[in-house]
Amino acid sequence: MKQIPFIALVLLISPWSAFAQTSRPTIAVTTDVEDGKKMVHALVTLNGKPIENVNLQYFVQRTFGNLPIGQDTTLDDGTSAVAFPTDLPGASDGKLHVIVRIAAPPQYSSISLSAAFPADVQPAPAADAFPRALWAPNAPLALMLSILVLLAGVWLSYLFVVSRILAIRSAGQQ
Amino acid sequence: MSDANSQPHNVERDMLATFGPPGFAHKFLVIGLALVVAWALVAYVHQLRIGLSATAMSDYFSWGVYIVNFVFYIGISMAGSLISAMLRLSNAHWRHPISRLAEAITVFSLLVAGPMILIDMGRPDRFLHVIRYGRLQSPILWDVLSLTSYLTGSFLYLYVPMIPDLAILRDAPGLSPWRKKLYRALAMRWTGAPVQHRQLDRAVAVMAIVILPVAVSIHTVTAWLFGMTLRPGWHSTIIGPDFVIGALYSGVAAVITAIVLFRYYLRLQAHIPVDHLRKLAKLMLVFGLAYAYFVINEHVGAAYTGEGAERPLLEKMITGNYSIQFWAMIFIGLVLPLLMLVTPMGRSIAGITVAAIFVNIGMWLKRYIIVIPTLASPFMPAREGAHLVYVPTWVEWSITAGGFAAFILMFILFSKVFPIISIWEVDQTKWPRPVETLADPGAAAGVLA
Repeated sequence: MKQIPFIALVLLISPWSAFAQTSRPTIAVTTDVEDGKKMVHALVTLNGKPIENVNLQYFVQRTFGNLPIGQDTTLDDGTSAVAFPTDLPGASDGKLHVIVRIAAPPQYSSISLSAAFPADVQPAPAADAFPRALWAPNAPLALMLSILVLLAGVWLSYLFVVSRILAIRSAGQQ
Repeated sequence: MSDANSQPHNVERDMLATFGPPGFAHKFLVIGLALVVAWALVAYVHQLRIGLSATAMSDYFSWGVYIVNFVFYIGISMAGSLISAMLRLSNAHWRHPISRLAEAITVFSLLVAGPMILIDMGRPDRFLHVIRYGRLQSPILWDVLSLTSYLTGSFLYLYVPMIPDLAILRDAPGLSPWRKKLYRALAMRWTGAPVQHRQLDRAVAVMAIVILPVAVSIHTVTAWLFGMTLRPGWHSTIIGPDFVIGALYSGVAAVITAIVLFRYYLRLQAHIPVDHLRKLAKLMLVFGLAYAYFVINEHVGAAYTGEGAERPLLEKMITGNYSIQFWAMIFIGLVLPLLMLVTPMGRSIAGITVAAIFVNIGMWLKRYIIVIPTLASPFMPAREGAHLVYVPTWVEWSITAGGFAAFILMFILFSKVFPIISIWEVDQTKWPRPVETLADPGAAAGVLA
């Protein structure tokens, strides 16, 4: 008898959970060139079928936040598009991280997708900003060579002296 | 007055006499110094347990007397390079009785200087990070490389000219078995053969030439630890040569002090005549005058321009919190010893000794003046209630005393095991040189030949 409420609860929840799994739209983002202009396309589908009139916001991830690059509403084929920003430098991996977020209808507004595409403008290597900084990955070549030559000169001289000590020893054996 | 060459055969005998059973004074001295070192170790363990809060160091005073001691010992380590290498290369034969003592000063002062850096570190267990993650751009790494090279070179430079002496001791009768074993192992089967003399001369000459730039490099790089930062009093184009001249000055003073002490302690008056001390005193006078010139240069520019950050620093030293140390350094380290050395009375043994001790004290104060007042002059305003005053704690003074005690102790123990005077160089009848190698081993011509 005690199992009846539990079974009832499962029966009650199951259809809703199945609905919840299938009622989330998915977003697919691609890029292509239309009329010589590079575009970002987003396709919004629900259970494999395109959704019309979904308003999408497009951003590019930057260091301190997301930069809006456009907003568009899906057509009957579920697609929308904005111009791909060709003047923005990519992240440290050389890519632009495009974020597409559903702005409306409200029930889908928490859904977003991020996709990375090669940027047209490559970022300058970070180390170049302070090539001589203590935290730079490598010391300046001239400095490395100078230290190497000086140390090699000194330690090779020491090796020579040690070899003379060994020569003294071998001469003593004879 | 006896000259070193007038009693050539006594050198070996007198050196062997220093290896005799220790007297009461020797035991008392060794035990006393060992106790001071042990107390310093206790203080260091206390510092390890509670961290750098055991010291007076803080956000503002990231360096304290440990770094003062480090720079001081690096400074006096110049003695070996100067007395031995420079005088060897210039063919000054009067250096023979004192060169080993000077070379030993270099090694022992470096052996005390190195640990001072570790003691200064809040996390000494991370020292290996300097090697593993060290940046070649950092003067800290330059200092580590330079110090390692200098210490290795100084060991070699102390050892190589000692090989014939070790052979003399190996062959000497009446020494204990462990000494015989030690000397036999270190003597490298020396028999005084011409080919061995040639090899020895080459090795000594190469070391004499190499050790000088290495010595200059360690003092310059130590100066750059300060000079490469944009701090008033440190960021100066002359700080490198300033440190080198200061090191020569304090190095000669350290050698004079050590010679006077060992001259009486080991009864070596017959082998180290007063004339040697007078020659060293002249060297100290010359370096002292040169150093005074640098000190004037260091401060006159700042006083004349009154440039933003330099002016308050100068005021702190001239009339402020650090005026006692500054003027003590000027009078004890420069004015008094230099005045003493230019007067006939000041060139007596007592006068030279007092002048050298004054220079030692003054040069330690000079390093204090270099390190501390600049740290008391931060660019950023001090937080409210912060005291920009550094007064070393008992832990720091204990470790400082332990460093001095360890330095003297190493010297005394060394003198009980190895000859403090180069027997074979003073007594030319020992291992006589073959005709073709009669030129001084340090002469550059010998290297080029």
